[in-house]
Amino acid sequence: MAFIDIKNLCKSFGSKKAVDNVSLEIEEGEVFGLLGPNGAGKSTLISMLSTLIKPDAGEITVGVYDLSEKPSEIKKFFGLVPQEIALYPTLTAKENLFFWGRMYGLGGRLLKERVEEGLELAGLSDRAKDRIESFSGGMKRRINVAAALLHHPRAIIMDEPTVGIDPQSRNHILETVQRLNKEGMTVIYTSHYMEEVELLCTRIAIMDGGKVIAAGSKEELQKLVGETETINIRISNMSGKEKSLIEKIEGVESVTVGEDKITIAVKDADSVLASVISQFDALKCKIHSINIDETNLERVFLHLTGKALRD
Amino acid sequence: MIFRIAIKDLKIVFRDKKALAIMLIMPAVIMFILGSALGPMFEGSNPIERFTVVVVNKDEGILSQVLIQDGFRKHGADMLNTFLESDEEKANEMLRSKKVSTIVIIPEGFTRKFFEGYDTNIRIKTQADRQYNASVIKSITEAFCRQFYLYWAAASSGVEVITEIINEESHSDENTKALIPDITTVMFDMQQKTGAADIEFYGEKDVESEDGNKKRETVSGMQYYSVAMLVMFVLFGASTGTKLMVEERQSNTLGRLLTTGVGKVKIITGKFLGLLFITFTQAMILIVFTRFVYGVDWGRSVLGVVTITLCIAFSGSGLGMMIGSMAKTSSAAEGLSQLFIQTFTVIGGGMMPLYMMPGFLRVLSRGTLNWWAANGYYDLMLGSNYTAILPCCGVLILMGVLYLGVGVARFRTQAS
Ligand SMILES: Nc1ncnc2c1ncn2[C@@H]1O[C@H](COP(=O)(O)OP(=O)(O)O)[C@@H](O)[C@H]1O
Ligand SMILES: [Mg+2]
Repeated sequence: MAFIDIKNLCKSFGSKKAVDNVSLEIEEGEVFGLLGPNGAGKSTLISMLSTLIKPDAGEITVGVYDLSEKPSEIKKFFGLVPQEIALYPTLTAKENLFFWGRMYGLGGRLLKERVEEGLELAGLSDRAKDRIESFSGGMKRRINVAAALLHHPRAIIMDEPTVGIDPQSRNHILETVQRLNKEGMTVIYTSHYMEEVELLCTRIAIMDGGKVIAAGSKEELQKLVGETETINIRISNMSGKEKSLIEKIEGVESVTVGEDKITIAVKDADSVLASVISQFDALKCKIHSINIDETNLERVFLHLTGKALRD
Repeated sequence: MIFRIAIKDLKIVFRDKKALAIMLIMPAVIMFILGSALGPMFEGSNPIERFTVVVVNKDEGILSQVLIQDGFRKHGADMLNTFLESDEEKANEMLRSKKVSTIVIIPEGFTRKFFEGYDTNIRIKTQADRQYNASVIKSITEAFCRQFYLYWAAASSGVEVITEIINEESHSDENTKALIPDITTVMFDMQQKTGAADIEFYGEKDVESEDGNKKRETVSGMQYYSVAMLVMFVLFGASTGTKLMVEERQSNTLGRLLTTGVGKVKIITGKFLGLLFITFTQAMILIVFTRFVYGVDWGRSVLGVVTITLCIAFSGSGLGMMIGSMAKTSSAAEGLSQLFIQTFTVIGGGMMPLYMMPGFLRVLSRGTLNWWAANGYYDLMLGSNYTAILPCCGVLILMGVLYLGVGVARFRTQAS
């Protein structure tokens, strides 16, 4: 049996089905991604998993425990990084961590150690005595993550931990996730950023409208769209005839032309790339760069729902 | 863990300089200001020369009646002889001819305007050498109006007291204005008028003192005033706790607390303890301050005062937590707090003499913590010892427990 087993979980707010018959299995030691646009039901699902709200129907088992029977045992397994920053703004970083550590039942030397460790993990040891309200969004987010790790949980649940922060803090958090996972921690990572989920996660569930519309490893999900790849070419000097000419090349499925770039969907990039380049040559276009993307989750999402992940 | 939550809340409060000022320094400051302004009125033996004031009441409503009866005639009895004169011109003539030194003119529609939320004014005219008279009347009038202003007019209407100094030659030259201060200040100014009336009511209580000492029968105006202020302040202090609870919910830390495995009972108890500390400290500061600065006699039993104070802080904090547990937003919390504080103060007898209220309100007033707290303090002030207040304490604790229970039962975990 999987470490976390979610079966037919449902939750409605009024007539709104926020989570609609969701079943998932999450193994110990993996980084499990929940990908979906805003309002997909990710936070609601996570809130049920972390015992904050009660499901209307369905079952959750974690380890050997049934969540409806032993919520307090399950709480110990998890560290939750909430979507919104949940810290006391007028307390310092250190005071916040001390407080949360105590709430997790830590004390004495161990607590002190863990707080130091948390500050280090957040990269903010030198700002320990500053109030949270004086921190940038990214710094707050880092402490927000650290606070969920103080009790060394078996799994950390992160709800959009990188929303609206600077690239540096974002990288910091992504690296933290990778490091924790390497040390054996199970991570449940929620995001509407496809790139993050692709980078981090071993398995992914795509959510939309309260439902899991697809789940599996990245490769498995890509198969759903068919074996397509994308050739992205940055180009100048275009004449306007490119689209129709490229579309004629065998193996090309679709062509999208932008101002200074062309995106070509193909079955197999290797076999068409040469003919594509020679065609541009013939048209006297100037090629600046070429890169080949394997099918990304953005396209999987588009394929499954007919809409873009982000507007 | 409960204590950690309490300590955390205290830390947060102590860093909020504004809240701290309101909670701990304001009572003292307000007591000081009012004490110096109204002090003479509370001292019956004050060697102020009594003077005669002629009131021209053009108002047809109740408010002016109460002002004259309770404010001028009853409360100001030591200082004023109050006469009514219906003709403003005659009154002016009396002033000019120095038959009286001071006249007060209450304008037409005073009551109506006040309750409908319009600004209105009271005019005091005095002779140049009798400006002190004006200031006495002004402070009575203002304290009186502020109090009504607080309960009914909310933030919308104000009463302006205009004093005019009349010289023999020119009829009016200089105007000194004293605008009603803003509502937050106003909240703290209260009780001075109803003091006299309520003393009668509470004075009826028969409390036998065990050591057979003869007791004073009534509490003084200043004592009444101090008790009423104290209870009011505890309730305001408790709304700090309400605010903290709502903030906890809105800053998402409540959700995080719940995921750590700390249950809602522990959270509420922890926050309650923090609040209890705040309200109790606040009340004790006020008591010590009034005792030593104004010589207010809180009775002989220090233990009794501490006990009843702890009990009122307990039930007040319970009330604060209950509101905090139920309120979604800070504005809802504020509204609810206001509602509770005002209703409790009004029906608890802190606003209008109980004998003026209909019978059912007098019964209802026993449902307020104000009534029980006030009675406990009066008992002590009238010379009772520790044991006499235990029933009051019991009721207060019971109320507090009840509030907490409702708070736990109706606890909201989510901000929206
Ligand atoms: N407490 C709530 N009350 C009412 N509706 C809610 C509540 N929480 C979430 N919802 C609704 O449920 C849906 C899913 O929300 P959420 O789980 O927050 O999505 P996500 O985290 O994927 O952005 C949304 O339509 C949201 O408006
Ligand atoms: Mg969300």
